[in-house]
Amino acid sequence: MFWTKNKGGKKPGTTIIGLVYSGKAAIGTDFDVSKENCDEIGLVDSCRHALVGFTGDPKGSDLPKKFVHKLDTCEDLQNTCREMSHQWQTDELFSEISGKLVALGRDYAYLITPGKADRIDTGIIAVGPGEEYALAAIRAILAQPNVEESVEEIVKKAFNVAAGVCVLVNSNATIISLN
Amino acid sequence: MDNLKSNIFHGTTIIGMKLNGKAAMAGDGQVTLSEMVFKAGAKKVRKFDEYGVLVGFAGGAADGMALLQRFEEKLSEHGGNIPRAAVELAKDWRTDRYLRRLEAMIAVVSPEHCFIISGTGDVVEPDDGICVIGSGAGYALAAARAILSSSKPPKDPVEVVRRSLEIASEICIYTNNKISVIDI
Repeated sequence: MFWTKNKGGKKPGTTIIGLVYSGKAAIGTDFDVSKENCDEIGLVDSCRHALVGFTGDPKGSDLPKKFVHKLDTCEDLQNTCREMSHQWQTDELFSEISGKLVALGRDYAYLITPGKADRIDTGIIAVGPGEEYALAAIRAILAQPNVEESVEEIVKKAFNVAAGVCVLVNSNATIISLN
Repeated sequence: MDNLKSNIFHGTTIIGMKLNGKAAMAGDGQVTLSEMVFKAGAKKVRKFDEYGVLVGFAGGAADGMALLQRFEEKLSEHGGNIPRAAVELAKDWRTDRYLRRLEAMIAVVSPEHCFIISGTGDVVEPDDGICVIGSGAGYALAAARAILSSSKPPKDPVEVVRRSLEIASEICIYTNNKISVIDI
């Protein structure tokens, strides 16, 4: 935007918005596959009460499936996230994949990058070109005195707001939830 | 706007909006000098009572003041007609070759109109009646739109601008939560 400081231009790619709120979770992606860098995302709803999303290299499109598989054997979401980040950093096959993995449980949200698994205590995760606007939008909705929207609706609204402000975000988002 | 970093008053968030025949504007209080918080309780929003206009500025402090002064002159020249004053102000940049590029922006809001005027001669009237300027502008705009799209949006613009600026102050490091709000 011309009236803010230029932050050096944004890289096009997929935006992922995840929200964990009062025992419920929802995650969405705008699946905006651009030709230049071909960012891609896989979305998987796992059997162990977790949602997972990936944004980054198309080579990493198997990562969500691997994560779910790991979660089946490991059971604990936090440990799975840790192991996943460890494997991502050390495993030769994984280490060339660049991107970010988002995992949502009923209580916490995790952001996984190679060698790092951060627990996001606020429960709001937004990655990709529209991240800051989505974050502001979700915080604004949750700061209302009575929140009547479901987590899915909040994520949908965040996408609409982000798409309205940032040209790199597509408002036609795919959203899945954990109720 | 790239060399704003060296200026006083770099980074600020001002949000103004018109809603239901009322207008409100909120500004934070932080004055940043490169990496130091220089002052926390500055007032960056003003009310031109005789014309019923709220104004706020972001960018270089002296340039912001100069821009406000020019705008007030234009308002008095054109009998308080806000769109006319804004356009005439922008015209000066077209016709006067010696006019300096002022490194600041002002937001102007009244119950009928809202404009963003930059120190380089741009005038923008936002479609949705929300004027945002400064480093946290994107966050404040996203928050305001989210609040308006929620199931029970507040009817008072004062409430909307205050809450949006609180969100912006949480995210933007150049914006603090000493918020001053004015309304008409």
